[in-house]
Amino acid sequence: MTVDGKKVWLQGTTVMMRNGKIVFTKRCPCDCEPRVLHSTTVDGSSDDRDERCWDLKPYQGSDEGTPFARWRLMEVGEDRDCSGTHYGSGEIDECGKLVGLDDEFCSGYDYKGYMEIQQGCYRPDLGKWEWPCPEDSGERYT
Amino acid sequence: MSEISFPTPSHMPFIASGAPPDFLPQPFCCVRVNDTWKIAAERNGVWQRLNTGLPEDATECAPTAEWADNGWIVSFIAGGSESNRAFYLYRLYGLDSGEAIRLCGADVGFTWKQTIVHGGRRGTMNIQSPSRIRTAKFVSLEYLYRASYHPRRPRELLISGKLRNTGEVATFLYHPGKSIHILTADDGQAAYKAAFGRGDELFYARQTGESFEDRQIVQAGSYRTVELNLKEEVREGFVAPEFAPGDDPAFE
Repeated sequence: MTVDGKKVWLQGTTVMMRNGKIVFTKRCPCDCEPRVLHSTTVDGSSDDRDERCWDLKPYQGSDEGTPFARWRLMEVGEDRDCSGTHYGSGEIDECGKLVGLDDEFCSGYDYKGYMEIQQGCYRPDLGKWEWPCPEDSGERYT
Repeated sequence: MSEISFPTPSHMPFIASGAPPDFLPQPFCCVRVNDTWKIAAERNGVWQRLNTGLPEDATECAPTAEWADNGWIVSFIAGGSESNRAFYLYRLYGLDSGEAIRLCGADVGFTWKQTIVHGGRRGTMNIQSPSRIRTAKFVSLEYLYRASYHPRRPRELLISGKLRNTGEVATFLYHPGKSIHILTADDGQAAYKAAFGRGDELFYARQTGESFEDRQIVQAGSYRTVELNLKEEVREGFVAPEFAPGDDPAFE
């Protein structure tokens, strides 16, 4: 974006209205795809703090996710079945920042935890948020 | 052999890991109090009944526990009192709070973190996590007697019940969507209402008298798992998406 006198030139920027305001984003929210942003394994029984804790500060900046998507921190299990515990969630702002992400996550459990920071996208046609988890399988019960 | 010993009579063992960094084993089980089963924990070498706040004539059983938020969170099944004959899944925050919280009607089940497992004596068991509700119907079991889990591999469930074809009891080690094994101990007997210790040693309720309920928790000298065909043994499914908790931010 450059300013030339009374004119503003936009290049590589998306302009949109949101909640009555004009916002500029580098990445179009329409490009949202559910995906795993970051992952690691933690083990609360380890003597090594680096193995017990996950430093999340590197992921607190801009351009981490798609604007106006959502993020969540969860334990997904070794086979990524996504049936595990959620440890936090929040919005992704117009700069792609994961709003509210803590500085670190430390495990207090004596087994390995398979952690992911995931991005979810709202699907208006489905009326729900979609996350990067395995498709449901097996016979469905109603 | 483990140093853990359980009182006589007793059944439904569970060995939780205590607070970090030591994760000292904390055993739980059911003990007989005036002819009624009550949940108990070993504290400073003495087995003590937990204060659940439920009526004296209520049967309490199937304890599980986890150390979280600087305290114990215990789940158990209770019911059968004169004031209310139905059985429910309860949660107790702290060992002495005296205020068990009723979660849902159930004959078997437990809670672990944000997951609730519950089911009736017969029929389908529900495994409810924040993102989905999985269902499991055990084809060869006529009755479910207990649902528990491996404390260090919490996605592996321990399911005890009565076999439809022989009428005998059996315990399955069930990993939803992945595998199912039948678990036997010592001389091939069913590892009835089993629990794993921190070193993967196995405890189970061995019948010691004529009555089915005359049981004593013992440590198995050895145990064996034999894999079964998951699709033949368990009818698995998911609750229809519109009824699942979904990923609604409000749920979190």
